[in-house]
Amino acid sequence: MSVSPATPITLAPDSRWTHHRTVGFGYLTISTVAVGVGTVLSLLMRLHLSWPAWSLPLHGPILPEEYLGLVTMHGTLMLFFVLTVAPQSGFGNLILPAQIGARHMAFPRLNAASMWLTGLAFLILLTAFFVPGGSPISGWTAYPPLSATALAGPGQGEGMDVWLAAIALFSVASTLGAINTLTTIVKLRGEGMSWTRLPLTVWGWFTAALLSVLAFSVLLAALAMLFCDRHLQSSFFVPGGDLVNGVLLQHRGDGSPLLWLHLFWFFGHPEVYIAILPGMGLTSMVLANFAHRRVFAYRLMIATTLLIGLLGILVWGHHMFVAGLNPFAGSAFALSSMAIALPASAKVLSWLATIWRSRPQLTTPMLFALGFVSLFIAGGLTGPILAQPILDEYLHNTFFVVAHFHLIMAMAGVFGLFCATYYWFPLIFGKMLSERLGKLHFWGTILGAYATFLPMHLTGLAGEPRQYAQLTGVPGPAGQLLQTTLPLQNHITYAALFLACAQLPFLLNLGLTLRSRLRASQNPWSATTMEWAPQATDELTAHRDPCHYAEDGVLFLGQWEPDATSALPPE
Amino acid sequence: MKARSQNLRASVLRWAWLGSLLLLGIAAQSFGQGCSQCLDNTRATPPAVQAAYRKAIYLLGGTGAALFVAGTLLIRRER
Amino acid sequence: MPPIVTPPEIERRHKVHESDNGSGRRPPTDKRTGGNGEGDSDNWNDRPQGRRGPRERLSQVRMGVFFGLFAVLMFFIAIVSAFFVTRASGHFDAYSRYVNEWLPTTIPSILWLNTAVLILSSASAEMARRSMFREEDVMDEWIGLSRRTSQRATAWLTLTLGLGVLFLAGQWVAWDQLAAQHVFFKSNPSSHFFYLITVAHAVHLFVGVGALIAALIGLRRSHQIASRQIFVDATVWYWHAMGLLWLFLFALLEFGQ
Repeated sequence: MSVSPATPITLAPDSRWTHHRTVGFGYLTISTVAVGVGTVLSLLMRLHLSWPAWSLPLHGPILPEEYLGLVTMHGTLMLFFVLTVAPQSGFGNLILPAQIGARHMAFPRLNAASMWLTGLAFLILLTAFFVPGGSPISGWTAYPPLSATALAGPGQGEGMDVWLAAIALFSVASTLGAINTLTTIVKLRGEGMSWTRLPLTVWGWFTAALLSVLAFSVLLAALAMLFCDRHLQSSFFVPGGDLVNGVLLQHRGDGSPLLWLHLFWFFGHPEVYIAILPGMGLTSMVLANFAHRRVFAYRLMIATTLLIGLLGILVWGHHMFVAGLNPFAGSAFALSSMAIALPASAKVLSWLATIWRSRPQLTTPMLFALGFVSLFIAGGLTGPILAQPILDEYLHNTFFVVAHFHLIMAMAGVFGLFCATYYWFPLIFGKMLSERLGKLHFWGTILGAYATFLPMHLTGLAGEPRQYAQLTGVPGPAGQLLQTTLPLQNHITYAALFLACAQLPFLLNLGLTLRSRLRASQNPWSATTMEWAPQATDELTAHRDPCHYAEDGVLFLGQWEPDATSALPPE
Repeated sequence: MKARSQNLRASVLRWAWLGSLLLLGIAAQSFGQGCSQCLDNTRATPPAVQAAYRKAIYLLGGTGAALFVAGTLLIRRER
Repeated sequence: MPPIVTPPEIERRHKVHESDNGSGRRPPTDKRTGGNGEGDSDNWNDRPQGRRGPRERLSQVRMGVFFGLFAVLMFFIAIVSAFFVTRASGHFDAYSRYVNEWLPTTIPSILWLNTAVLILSSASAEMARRSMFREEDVMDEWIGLSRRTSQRATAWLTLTLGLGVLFLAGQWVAWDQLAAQHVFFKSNPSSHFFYLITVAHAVHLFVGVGALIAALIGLRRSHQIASRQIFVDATVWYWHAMGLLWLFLFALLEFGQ
């Protein structure tokens, strides 16, 4: 076989608008804008916490309700529009068809529609900054009664309605997109692509899509009921006789905020697994790729992916340990939450076993995959701590929780996205991103991530609460407790600024590479999965499972190669 | 020969899963007494409401898990 | 010179054809499919995409509808869970008595009629769906001899559409009747749920009505019979699911309050 320059995925005779490449790029565009806005918001939060009197140019000092608005919008943008969209819909649309040997996604027009709906939801959400009253302040979790009435605070009128509309649209769009992904994976696999030959990335996309189908509907139901509470004087979540800001709410009936918590977290927990599962699958494949090894316990990895998905549906109560649940319910949810540590640990052990005593090629995607493992372990270890009600009782709503989910979701999830970008860039654009800038980016990001989020464990243990706009000038023993965390606060802020700046090499890398003329080879990473095959994969047969590497660590056998005697030398 | 050792490995793995779940079940965390807020809240909730929440949790969680399992089993019928 | 010379005309006698042309005296095999059902070549799913038979796209759309119905089911299960919790909830009044404000909403009896109408519409929808798959009619239509499947399906689907619209109208009448009795959405927790459940179901059924109209248009204008089958099949499965869902929701509202 001749070595040919990589030909980027070309547009097939399908309409451009419904081609999965267009849809994937659309999703990634939404995510990129969202991550930029979300990062700016988080930096504003950090600056305000460290220097409360600091005045934002053209705006003035950040008021407490504005701080809460920043918290809300940061969480909403990052979780929904970055971590749900980019790994699952963005990269899924770009890479999934090629990886399974499909010509296109199952329902191209539905796919395109869900992308445009997501974009519309994003635009609607952004208008929340500009409506009278400003953005909502009830957090991405929108607990009632704060979220249930416009009287509850600034931004809870129009801002909250805008948020509701945006997230409701997003739920519908995500469900449609997930239906498309599921049907594609089940029905449109190419010849020879059996279930056990599917790359683990695809299993991650499958499980995340199945969770999406089940979870987003419950969110939509909860949002519908919240809407009714807000505008139709119902009382699904509003207790009877509730006095809000001196005004008695005239809702008939006895709702309960606990009901919202149940419904929201029934969605909210699968949501975070949707965010991380594709990254976990990708990490297994990338580690195997660059270590030139088989994935350790491949079928077990498939089973653990599904098991994490299944258990993810049964653990939602661990967000509610201090909400006043019956202790027995707390115990039940603690049990299921700790049970998730089993398949998660199995995955970590498999990652480690895959690269144990290998001589991996430390390319940038490999570094980011290793970073994923590192951050997953760091963030994941605090999971079983928080899963115990007695410990969560102290740690709930402190920065310990913030550290946990940022390390495991924001950082590990984002590392999954960076790994995907560096890994598949040659496939999508036909060029390789610069290794030097990539390594600079990696080291800056991982050091910045640990520097920012590890100290948050300490401030959380010292008692720093979440969503406090002000850590100074608080009277009494609480103030003294917060005083002890102040030195670390500045450190965290500097580290966060460093982390943000560490992304500049990445942007530079993207810009320079897209403008350069150097073409990458067809399979620069010696990968074995179908998307790297030299011709369109819907015409190829998958002959074996992925990650077949020879003992010498040089020869490899792609899934598309007909038989073992024609192993290609690496490009 | 290989099939037998694979079967053995599968059954050992199965017992390992079951064993670990059993160990979790009898761990101290499973017999929580609850904090004072939770106990007060629970005592203040009439048994009918407690039962309603319990049924609702089973319904939501059970249906979700059942649909997930159904979705997974469904794909086994596909090639 | 040989002693006997055979003139060329006599040479051209037919020789007995001895060779079997490589067929091995077996029936001809279709090399594309692995021949005569050998191995698992009868499982069309093992063939390349696009060559998996006339039901390929249909099975994909059915699976999509199926997963969509998962989502719809979870939506209504969430509302039903909230229903159970709210039904039992109340507050402690000034005398520490537990007061449950839930007053069951009397279901307007027209809902029984609506349920019957919806069941009938499911029956007619199923008739439409089956007529799309009757083999002889499908062959005739595929060849172009008749339009019997599409005509039959159009007739049954129109009936279904009529019954569906009748159902929605009946729901509207029920809401009017309740409003006339001053039972509004916000009157009582039970009426919150009554209206929420019936409106949510009606919205989904409205989508189903839209799908029926699209199927009727598709029956007329779509060129491939496989596409027409898909239009009708997907719509009818969705319709059945909405009907079944209504039965449970109606039972909940009627007997569960």
